[in-house]
Amino acid sequence: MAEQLGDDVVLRAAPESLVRRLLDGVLILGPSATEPLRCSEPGDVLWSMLSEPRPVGELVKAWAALFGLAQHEARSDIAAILAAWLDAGAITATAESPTP
Amino acid sequence: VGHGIDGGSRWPTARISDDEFLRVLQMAVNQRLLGALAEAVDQRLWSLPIAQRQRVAELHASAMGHVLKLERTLLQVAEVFGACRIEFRVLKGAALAHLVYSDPTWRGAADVDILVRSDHFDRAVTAAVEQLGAVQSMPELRPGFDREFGKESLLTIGEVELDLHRTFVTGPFGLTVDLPELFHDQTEFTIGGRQVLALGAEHRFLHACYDAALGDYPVRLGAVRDLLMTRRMVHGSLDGALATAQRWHGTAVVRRAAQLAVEHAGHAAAGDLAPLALLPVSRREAWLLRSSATPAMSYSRPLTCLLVIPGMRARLRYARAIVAPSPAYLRSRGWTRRSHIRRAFEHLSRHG
Repeated sequence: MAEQLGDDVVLRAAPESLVRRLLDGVLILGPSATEPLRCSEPGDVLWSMLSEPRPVGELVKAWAALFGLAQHEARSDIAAILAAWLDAGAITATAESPTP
Repeated sequence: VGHGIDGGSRWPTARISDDEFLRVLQMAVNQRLLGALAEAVDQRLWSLPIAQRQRVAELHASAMGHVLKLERTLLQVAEVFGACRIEFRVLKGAALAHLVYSDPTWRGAADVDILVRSDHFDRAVTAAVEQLGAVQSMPELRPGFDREFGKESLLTIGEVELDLHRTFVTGPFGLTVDLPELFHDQTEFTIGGRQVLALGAEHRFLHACYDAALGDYPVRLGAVRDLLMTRRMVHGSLDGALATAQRWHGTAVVRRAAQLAVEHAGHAAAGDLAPLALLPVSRREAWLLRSSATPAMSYSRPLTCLLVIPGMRARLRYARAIVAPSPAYLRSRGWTRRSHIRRAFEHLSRHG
């Protein structure tokens, strides 16, 4: 699902999400989930990137730079976790660009 | 107990065996100190082999999974109570985690604790039952008892326990707290994008004193840690809190809490709580405290309540409820009236 998100789609953590930092990652209970999602490192880094609204394209570039990956690898890397977060309502996706 | 607090003990530098490690871990869970242990591991103050670190990480993650479900329930309660104009303050768990600890992940919780105004108490229980599907696990001793004399009503919503408190503790010290005063002050904090209210800093500190001194018997060390942490959030001296405790006839409670802080965290970590361990208290308060902190407290506390309940009629209502609980209450405990009285005598005589 997240692989199909256009680069202009803006993602951000839903304010209603309940979150705890863990010793080895992050735990998130999205508003539409019944059980928390546990994401091991470096999923917590991705989560912290979404504390501010970010277009998918920017997120992919940042991820690629952080881990020395090609952009298609970075996109594939984060697709599953973004999809899980979207399903849980933990993040929101909007078409607009973030307001400056 | 004193982890992260000036003067607190240091973590061991030598490795410990797996058996010792498991004992420490079990103790941390039982004493509600898993958060402190996880924080020390995270900060590398306690260096563990990978397998032991992973064990801490797993237990901590599991505890936090439970905490997130508690917070969701808290938000549902806040929504319903807000719509019903029921005034409340969040106690302990979520309030301390978000307001007192350096990161909420370092403070676990077993249930949701909420303080409700006495005159809103019955409506709060009804709203929780009718709108949130809460189940009252134990009926009150007699109808109207909880609103007038009780400490709390225990409810369950799904797998979550919701404790609706009317006052801080059971027994005489819970009855002399100025309950309306607790709603004159507040501290806001945010969970899941919603603002909720906790007690003001001084009342939060006093609640931590009452919880440490009169909560579990014997005390859970997590309650002592909460006390040390809440102290740090009261700016300046504790004179205001002490004056309030005096008005509430609870100086003995503060003294006992301070003694526990010194006993379990040491003089240095107890800081300016240490002198409070020597506070002068009246003989009456000291006696009430002794009667309240015994293995037979579930029976001795109700008896000593009779000494502080104002008015003969209220005392009679209270005594009647204690001696002759409603059939529904007795049924819920699997007791008869005779077995209830026999148990009370046995406990009181066994523990003096």
